[in-house]
Amino acid sequence: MKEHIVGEEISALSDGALSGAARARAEAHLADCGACRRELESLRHLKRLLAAAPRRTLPADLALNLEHRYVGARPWTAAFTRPAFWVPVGAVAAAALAFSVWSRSLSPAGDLPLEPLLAAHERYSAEALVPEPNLVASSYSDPLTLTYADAADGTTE
Amino acid sequence: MLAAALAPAPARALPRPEELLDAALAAPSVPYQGHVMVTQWYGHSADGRVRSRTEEMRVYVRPPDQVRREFLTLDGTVARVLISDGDRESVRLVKSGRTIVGDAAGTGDKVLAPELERATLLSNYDLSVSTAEAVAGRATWRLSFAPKAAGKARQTLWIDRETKIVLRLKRWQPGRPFASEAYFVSISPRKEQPEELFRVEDSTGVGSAVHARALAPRFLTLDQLRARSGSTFPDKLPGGFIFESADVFSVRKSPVRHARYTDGLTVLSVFQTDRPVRLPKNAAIPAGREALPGPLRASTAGKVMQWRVGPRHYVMMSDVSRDLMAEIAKSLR
Amino acid sequence: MDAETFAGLIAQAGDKAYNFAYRLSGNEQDARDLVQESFARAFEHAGAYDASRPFDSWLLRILHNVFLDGMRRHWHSRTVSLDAPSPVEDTGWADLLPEDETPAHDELARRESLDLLQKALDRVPLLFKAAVVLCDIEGLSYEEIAQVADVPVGTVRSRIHQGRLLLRREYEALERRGGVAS
Repeated sequence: MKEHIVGEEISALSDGALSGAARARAEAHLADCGACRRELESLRHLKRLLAAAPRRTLPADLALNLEHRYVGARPWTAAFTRPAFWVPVGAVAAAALAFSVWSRSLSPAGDLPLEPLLAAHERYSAEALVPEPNLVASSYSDPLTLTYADAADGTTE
Repeated sequence: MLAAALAPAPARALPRPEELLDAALAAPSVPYQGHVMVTQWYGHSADGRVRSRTEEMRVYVRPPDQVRREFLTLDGTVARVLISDGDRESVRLVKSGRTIVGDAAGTGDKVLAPELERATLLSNYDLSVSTAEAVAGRATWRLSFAPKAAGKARQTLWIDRETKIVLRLKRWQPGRPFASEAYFVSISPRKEQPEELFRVEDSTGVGSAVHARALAPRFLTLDQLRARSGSTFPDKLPGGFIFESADVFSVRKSPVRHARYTDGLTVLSVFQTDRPVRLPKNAAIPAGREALPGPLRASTAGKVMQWRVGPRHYVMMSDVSRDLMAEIAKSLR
Repeated sequence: MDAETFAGLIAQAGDKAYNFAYRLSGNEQDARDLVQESFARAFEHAGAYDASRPFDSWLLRILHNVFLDGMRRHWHSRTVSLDAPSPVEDTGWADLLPEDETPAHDELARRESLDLLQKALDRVPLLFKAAVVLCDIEGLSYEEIAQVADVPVGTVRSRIHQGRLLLRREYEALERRGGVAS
């Protein structure tokens, strides 16, 4: 009587990691053996269950933290990039901050930046009857960092 | 008689929504400090994930109107410091040493009387109160705002039963990837707070101060706006929005007229410019039922839409739905 | 490689790492710590990274080591304070999905049966658990798993099999107790 397939081989078969003579032997055995077929199906069911597990994504604050810390920081960029593509640390760090939504690419000359308008809108939200003062403070001080970081001293208009 | 004695004690009565609202809006009764997390979700990125932005902050409050906020980077260092002494406010950017100064938030000379704004709120939203889970270890009431008109966000406040401080806020649109939330991770009322914490930073040793228009907005009436800039705006917009005030400032020497609208809870801005404004480079939000007059993008302010009418460019900012934005844009032609 | 691509690479690897870390440790706090520590270590040893090899696998290998180190130091799970609502967990992605997706009922049922899965995973010894997670959740090949776990392919094969048997036994036991259909 043919021996049952070793359990490990059934697992490997379900993973497509069995080949050559071992695979031929296993498949031949399965043709005749209900018990092993059931075991294979049971393992496949478990695999399907695991594969269907919803993927957890990086929590937003952690993702931001990592981006902030590691994007553009040497020596990692050195390991990843060729000199032609290396971007100065400061600019990348700034771009990687929460306002990465804002593009720094060239735009048609004469276009106005959005940040001052955003700052004005968010700052005005702080005057609402029902503000969430912590939320709006976060919102309006944010675009200010881009708008005014390089501004000359004195009053801006 | 016996039945009454055996009956469970009546549940503690819920406060009336309007009373709770007023209590929450009033100035804090005790000094306190705490740790707050703020998160905003704003649309999808190209690979389908929901974009979000989170900030962590330490807050110190001294009644009636002094606040110090320190925004932390996620390894705990301070990135920005906002200080308000009730009259003026400073924003110090730690990395660049730059300080920006202006009027304190919440002290604006609004055109709309508070009673009228409150009445507008009540006419545009259904308020309700319920019991709620604890926030930062403290018992709360939950005050919810349900919009009567379609296309607007819902909002819920968790209000501390003892001090009436708002411990948590959540604002979201069901089924839409736009939401914001702020909540106290921990909070401790204090007997007092030292004055030194709330000294506005006019000029620091390192950088020096910039007086920023964005932090010192004007509150012009519609007539004043017209007189100053020649631009006219309607006093009402679809969706229950009313004109509150306007401002005029310039960006790169080009004038920007800012008309602000409110429905009592939601704020909507319409900017009018003579030159186009550069929108964020993320994926455009597709049109809904209504055709859009121009590109619509997601930002931390909700949505931003730009369109042209002749030589004028308009930019609208709000977190209302794209259909409502399209409808409002139509009324501004 | 420009900054945006690099940021995307980190995001992608970070997601994979976090998912792996979560399945290994069974809770968010430890998963966060594992990911932070792994990135820090990867950064420290950036010189050793061979850019012609996939970054994901390299990071997972570091994470696997960090986890083992942690286990050896008797790393305990922390309990998360129930008073502080976590924005992502509490909001419910059902509230944040675009209109055309319908989660609700299916999602809830799926979420429940998967809690069971994580509970069962928590009871499987870590070396077996890691192998099964890498194979069936992360979809790595035996060779790739051998690289991550730093063991021969034969060992990977037997760990995967043992892991599945143990997982199945724990899962079925939990199902009988809880009565939740998978």
